[in-house]
Amino acid sequence: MKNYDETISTVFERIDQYKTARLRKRKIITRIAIPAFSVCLAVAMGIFAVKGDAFKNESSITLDDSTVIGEKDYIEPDELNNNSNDTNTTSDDIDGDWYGEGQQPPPSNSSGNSSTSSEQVSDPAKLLCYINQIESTKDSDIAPPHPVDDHYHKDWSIDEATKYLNVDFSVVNAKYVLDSSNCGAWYKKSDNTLVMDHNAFVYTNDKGSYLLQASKTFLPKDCIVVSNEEVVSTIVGTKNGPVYVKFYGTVGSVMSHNYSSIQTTMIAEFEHKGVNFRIEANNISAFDFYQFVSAVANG
Amino acid sequence: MDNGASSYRRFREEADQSGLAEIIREYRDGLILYLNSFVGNIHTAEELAEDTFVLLGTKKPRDKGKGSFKTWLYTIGRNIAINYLKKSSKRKEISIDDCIELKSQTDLEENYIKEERKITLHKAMQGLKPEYRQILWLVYFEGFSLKQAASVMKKSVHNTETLVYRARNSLKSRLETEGFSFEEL
Repeated sequence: MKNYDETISTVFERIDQYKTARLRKRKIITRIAIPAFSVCLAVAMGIFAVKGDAFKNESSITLDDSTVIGEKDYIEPDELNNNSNDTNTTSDDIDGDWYGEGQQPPPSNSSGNSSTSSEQVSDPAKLLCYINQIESTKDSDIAPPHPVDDHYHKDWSIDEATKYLNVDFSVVNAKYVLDSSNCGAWYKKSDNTLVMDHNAFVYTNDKGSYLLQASKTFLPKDCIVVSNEEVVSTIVGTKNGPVYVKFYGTVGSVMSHNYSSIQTTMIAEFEHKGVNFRIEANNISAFDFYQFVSAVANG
Repeated sequence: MDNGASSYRRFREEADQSGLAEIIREYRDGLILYLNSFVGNIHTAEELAEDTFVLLGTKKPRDKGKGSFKTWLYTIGRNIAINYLKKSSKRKEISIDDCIELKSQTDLEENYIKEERKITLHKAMQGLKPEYRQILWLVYFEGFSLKQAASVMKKSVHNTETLVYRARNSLKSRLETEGFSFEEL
């Protein structure tokens, strides 16, 4: 049993030990906590930056020419707000030189137009870019070849084009007026080998217009903006059998910045009798559009 | 000294170490004997009493002033003893015959209790239940009121009253068995 002085001495000794230990612990914690906090802060900032797309390269859309059919390439919402120059650059990246010599990519509207139109999109994050969606068709098989140096090309008329494509447009012709005399062109090498053909028919009436693109050598393509819910695959029955058509409902074109018509444009893409079709309709009712697609598919 | 409260205030607010030394001198023995009623080992009780004073010196808890300083100190000691018992996971109850610390305990009893009769009474208490030992120590040896004892033992006054009654009867029968009589019980 300790006497009072021993107890007092022991108690104060233990109090001192406690204070020393606490001081040492605090130093250790401080020494560990500062670097740990720095690391955590850096990690948190990194995550924040990545999630916030701080390092995003605005000039590139990650849309490659998909080799797998049905691949969806996501377009960041910011892309919708890019100015026309950026988008033109993008369109070249996407499509390469599939417009023939002397042809220019579709004209783009002003950037002001695009920003106004993008506001019509209720939820841009839902918008997806679709490209080369024709069922059972590989883009790599029908990618537009680059015209070679020793090629020559020829523009042709509607008759020449329809004969080449073996498609009867009589049903369409009854309701709409063909708006172009030069409807297509082909590119051949000097040895008469066909390199590429590209045919475009613009039909109009007082209500709306159609742009029909067709080619045997590649898939006429454009990047379109569409909300996922509006993509419908359907089968159009024809006298030659079923044709698988992918309809896009209300869409806008990234290429042409055609956002103003985002609520009125419909697109169908399909392959029929060796010809790749892409039909774009503006201000046309769904019924008329279906009829037109059906007429082409039955041609 | 007002039951140690002023000494503790000096230590706590003015870092006057003599204040804590005064408290140790004043309350150490009583606290050890009280804690001994918990743990049944005088050396363990001494360590626990030391722990109580160390806690006062390190954490410097604030006395809320609801009761006397002594009541508050004993409550802290009790909590420390309970924690000790939880950690050791078994209550060491040892009979007075087996107690190897008899010498130390006897010295402390003689030093603190002084009265021969009460020392005999305290020895007889060793065979009682710990709870009885605790309440009897607080009420009969420390002179705590029922309210103060209830506060230390975290019981209601009514429960404490009942506990004292039972503890006293238990001690009385034990003393009678050993041939003693204690009129104050």
